[in-house]
Amino acid sequence: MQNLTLKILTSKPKEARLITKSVFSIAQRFLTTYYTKAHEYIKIDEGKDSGKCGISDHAQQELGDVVFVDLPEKGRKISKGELSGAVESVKAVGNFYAPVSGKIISVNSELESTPSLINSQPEDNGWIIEVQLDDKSEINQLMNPEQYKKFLAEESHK
Amino acid sequence: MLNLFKKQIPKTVNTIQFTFSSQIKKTHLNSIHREIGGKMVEFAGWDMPVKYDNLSIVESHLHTRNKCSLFDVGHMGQYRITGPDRKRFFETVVVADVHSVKLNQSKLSCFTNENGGIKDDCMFNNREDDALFLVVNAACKEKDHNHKYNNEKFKDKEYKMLIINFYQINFCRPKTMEIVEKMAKTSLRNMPFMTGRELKFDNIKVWATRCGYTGEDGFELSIEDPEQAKQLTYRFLANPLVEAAGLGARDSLRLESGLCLYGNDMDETTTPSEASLLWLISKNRKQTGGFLGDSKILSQIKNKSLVKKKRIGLLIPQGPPARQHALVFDPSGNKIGEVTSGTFSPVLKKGIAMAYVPPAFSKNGTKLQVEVRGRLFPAIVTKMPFVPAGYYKVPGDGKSKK
Repeated sequence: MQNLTLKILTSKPKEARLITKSVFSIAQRFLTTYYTKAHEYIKIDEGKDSGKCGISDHAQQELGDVVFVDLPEKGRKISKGELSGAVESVKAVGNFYAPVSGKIISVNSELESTPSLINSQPEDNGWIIEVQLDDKSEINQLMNPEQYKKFLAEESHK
Repeated sequence: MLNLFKKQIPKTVNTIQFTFSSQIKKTHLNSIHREIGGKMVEFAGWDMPVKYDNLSIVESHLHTRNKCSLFDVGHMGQYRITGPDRKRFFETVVVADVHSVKLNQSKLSCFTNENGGIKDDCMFNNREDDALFLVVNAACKEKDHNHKYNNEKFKDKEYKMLIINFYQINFCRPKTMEIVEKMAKTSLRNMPFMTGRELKFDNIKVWATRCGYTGEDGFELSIEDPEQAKQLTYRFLANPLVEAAGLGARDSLRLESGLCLYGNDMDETTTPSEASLLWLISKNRKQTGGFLGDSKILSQIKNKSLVKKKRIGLLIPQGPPARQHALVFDPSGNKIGEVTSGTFSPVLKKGIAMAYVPPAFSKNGTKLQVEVRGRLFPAIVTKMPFVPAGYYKVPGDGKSKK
């Protein structure tokens, strides 16, 4: 069964899923979403230096029913790529790595009672932490929605 | 057993006797899984569905508890043991009193090794056509098969153990009986749990046993002809109450029902006493033994202080599920054991687990702790099944059958 868990975490989708339409429409209004290769995102207002972070729609689909979210402490300083929480489904544990460096200015405590928000609205009300960025230029190392879409397509062909 | 022989004969001898292809294997329902959106994974060398696109694991789990699910268990090892000495032979490799098993009755049992460890668990049925029908774990098929060659008390003339390729589908309560009755055009009200009989679905002849691995009423249907197995699967799936379910739901269902997974919750290093599976050993065989490792197993029955660890159920009221290998601590923070299976219970909406701890901590209600990602969470030793079993009882049959 341990193998099974690993398989779920590493298995590739038959075809890359597109990011939900609602995310696009919000993004078009004021926000841009940037993605990591580990399927985390940060949604950032161009005029601000903070943004909400979570796991992508693709990541939640791969994980399945989210039953528990391990939230980090508010106020904690994190660096990019640092383990900053965990998202658990029935079968698997997904580590949540910080997509950027900075300070956690809020955590989504809604997830304590309703972890399934990550399934229903992963890139919206299912956000995990809000981060004040140390260096806004760090987002240049991430993928924009177009690039992420391409990345998923490539991943699924590997 | 294999370890013992390694000392005396070259290791290769065992592998020459019986080799299995290393290629990924497919059951005859494989094309159906793919057709209906099965998410396929490799499990014990087989290409099996973990879930299907239309339902999440939790949804599929709850559908099984409330309505009826169809599982492909064609990856399990299935054998037909024939010959006049089949029962005597089988008693040397399992702990059950095979002779006392009534006609068409099924029994859960286990193979043991010379150290009293559990080699595999199995289900067998004493069929009326003079055969024992045996089902073993997919991952243990090879070693179970080799096991018989290491048994020198019997020669091939006296018994025959053949691999058969039956295809099984399994359903669960509470709609199951109705659905199967309607399709087989016969009443199943008087068919007790853990028995087998032949059923006919129009032209399709099926060997059906009333059992399952979900804690619910269920039927395992064995069909000799692969095309017929597919045909019957389509017919069941056409019923709006029936959904296909995969290994994901199967695992959370069996854990809620307190059923062991071989390789996780018991293995060659755990004895029936330690695995809390003494009930598998028939009463007279607790006296007479006669199976591998009997001296160790019987001494643990007579002298409980020889049992150093016990399998228990843990309920984790708050916090993340504790999964396999999570450490278990006593209230003072001393490490006392390890989780062997753990998940989130879709019915209880809490973490549930099986773990091994010293017998002193095995009493129900004992407060313990589990470690997940460096933090400790309260865990309570809890009687299993975590969710009440829904096994079928024949109306008017006062005694519940286990």
